[in-house]
Amino acid sequence: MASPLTMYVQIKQDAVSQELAEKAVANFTQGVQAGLDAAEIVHYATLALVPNPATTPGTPASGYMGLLLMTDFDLAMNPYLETFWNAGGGIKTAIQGIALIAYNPVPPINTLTDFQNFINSVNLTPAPTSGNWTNFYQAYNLTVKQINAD
Amino acid sequence: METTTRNAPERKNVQGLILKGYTHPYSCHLLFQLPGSTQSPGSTPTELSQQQTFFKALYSHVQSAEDWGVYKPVSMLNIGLTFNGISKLDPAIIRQQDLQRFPVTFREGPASGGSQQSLGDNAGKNNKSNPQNWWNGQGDAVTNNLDCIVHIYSLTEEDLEILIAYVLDAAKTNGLTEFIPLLPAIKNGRLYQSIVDKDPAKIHFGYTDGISEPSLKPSEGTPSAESNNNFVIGYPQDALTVPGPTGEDTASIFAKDGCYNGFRVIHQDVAAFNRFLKNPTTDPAVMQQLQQLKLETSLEEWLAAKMCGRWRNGSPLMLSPDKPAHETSHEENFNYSVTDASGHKDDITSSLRCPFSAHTRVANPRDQQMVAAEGTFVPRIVRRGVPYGPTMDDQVVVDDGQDRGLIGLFLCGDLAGQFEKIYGWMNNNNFSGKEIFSVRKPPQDALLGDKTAANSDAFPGTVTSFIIPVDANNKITIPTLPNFLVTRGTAYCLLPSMETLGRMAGV
Repeated sequence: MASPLTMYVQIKQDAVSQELAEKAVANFTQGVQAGLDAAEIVHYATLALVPNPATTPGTPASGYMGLLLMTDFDLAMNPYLETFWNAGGGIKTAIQGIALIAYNPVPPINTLTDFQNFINSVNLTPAPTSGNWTNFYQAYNLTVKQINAD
Repeated sequence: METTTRNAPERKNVQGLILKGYTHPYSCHLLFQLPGSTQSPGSTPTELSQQQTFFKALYSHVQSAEDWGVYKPVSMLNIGLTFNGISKLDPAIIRQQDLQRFPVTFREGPASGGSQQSLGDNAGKNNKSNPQNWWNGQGDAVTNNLDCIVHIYSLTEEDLEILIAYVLDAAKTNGLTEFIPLLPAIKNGRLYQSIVDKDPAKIHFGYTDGISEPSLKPSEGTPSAESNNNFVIGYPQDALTVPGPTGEDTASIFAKDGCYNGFRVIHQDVAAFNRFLKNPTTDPAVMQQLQQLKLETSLEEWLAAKMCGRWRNGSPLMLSPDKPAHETSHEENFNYSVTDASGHKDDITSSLRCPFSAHTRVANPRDQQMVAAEGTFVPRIVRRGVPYGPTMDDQVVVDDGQDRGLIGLFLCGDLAGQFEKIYGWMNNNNFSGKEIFSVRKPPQDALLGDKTAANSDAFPGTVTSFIIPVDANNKITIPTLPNFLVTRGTAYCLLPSMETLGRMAGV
């Protein structure tokens, strides 16, 4: 079971939000490493800053339009978002932090339901009803545990 | 609206079937589309009035969880609403902008891609359980428009029919559309409860059902997966699975003291099950292994018990490993793990009695150790299901074309964290470590795993074989289990509180 999560969050343009976004990216791996290692279901996770578009072609842009989290984990999305919500380390904090600097207002993420609703609302690759992905490729369908078992 | 912070719901405000299992021998479950629209600007005043009049007509028949005393009500009903149905209600009861506060799993429903990741009805090739085939082939036409399920219970067939007629009349008068979920030729295609083997406790396949249920007692300060905090919305203090939404918004107020229902109609192929028990494999070596067992019961009964984890009378294999026993037939007090003096937990030895993939062990692994991704507790669900369709004798091995199965009401506070997580476990036994389940080729729940979905992208590597340990050095592997079940339909409903139903009814 692959659950690709492509989470795009447009962020505020003020200096504090922009700086927090940079810090979120700089500290991402360190913050989530322990929790994701323990879960043993995440294939990879990357958090990137999406640059603002250039105002004039050929001129460098400044600042960031948003944050893009791309990950792929085993098992079904919604039952196992609980794993990340309850995992130690910085996963919950990272998501709550991203929600705080989101350009579009996000209701406070205080509960697992809030967390699931937020993640699903910004996921650009939801599971297709047919079960057949049209916008997701994987070279293998092994789980992390199956790979680690070799 | 009560605003005090009680740590347990008042029984009089909770619909009855949530906190108590009815034992009424007659029931029927009616599916409706409400008048109105989920799209802006919403239902018209006329449609809202029709909705209110319908719920008002039913309200006095709704059974709460309050003690009914010595005499059971002769007939009664409970009401569930899908997210679609809630979206049609009066904005004065629940504001449109608050609807998104409901959990995404409830909002998107069981046919959604997210839910199907666990349920697996759409997985594998030509899966008969595919949501497109649900509701006797009506598929999305019902799934996307189903708003309301009315669960009607009665002590007599006559009284059941009287209340059904009353509800149908109220529905017709107020512009509701009834959906017929099964083949119309039988019982008008409605979901009537049936009695299997003249025993209301039995389901098709011959098992006694409903033995293992969460206690649903208030937590009293000690978090437990069994307590009603995990099932009734609004009491997160000591819940392990936190039902939502909770807050001050109108969705949270609407949902408080309610409970979710994973309503699932499952066809059971009794003839295939009987055939399997009589001839479980075409592999002569495996058949010889089975025939050489020194059993105190027939091989059929032994196999049926190994697949379920309980004998058909209810006795758990952990307490009655060799034959069913009357004194253990409703026993709940057992575990699978043994801790030795050095603190080492042994989950393996118990498999000599109860195989790891036996249904009751998968659906409730109790104290069996789980992998880190599963968290720290075993989620529970409340089951209020009943059989439908005529009894088939356990000697019959050729299908008679009649539809029969289970009308499953799986109650929980968190559809994703309880119902879907357990369903995912049944389709893919991967929730415990490699000492218990093969990592490369994990098995499925012997009874409820969707064999068509095995080794699909949804459940990579899963196999349909069934391992039965017989002693410390030997095990029997049934190479292939057939599919015994087909999903006929699924709906996610909220069973609102009595207070919320009262507001819907305008009383």
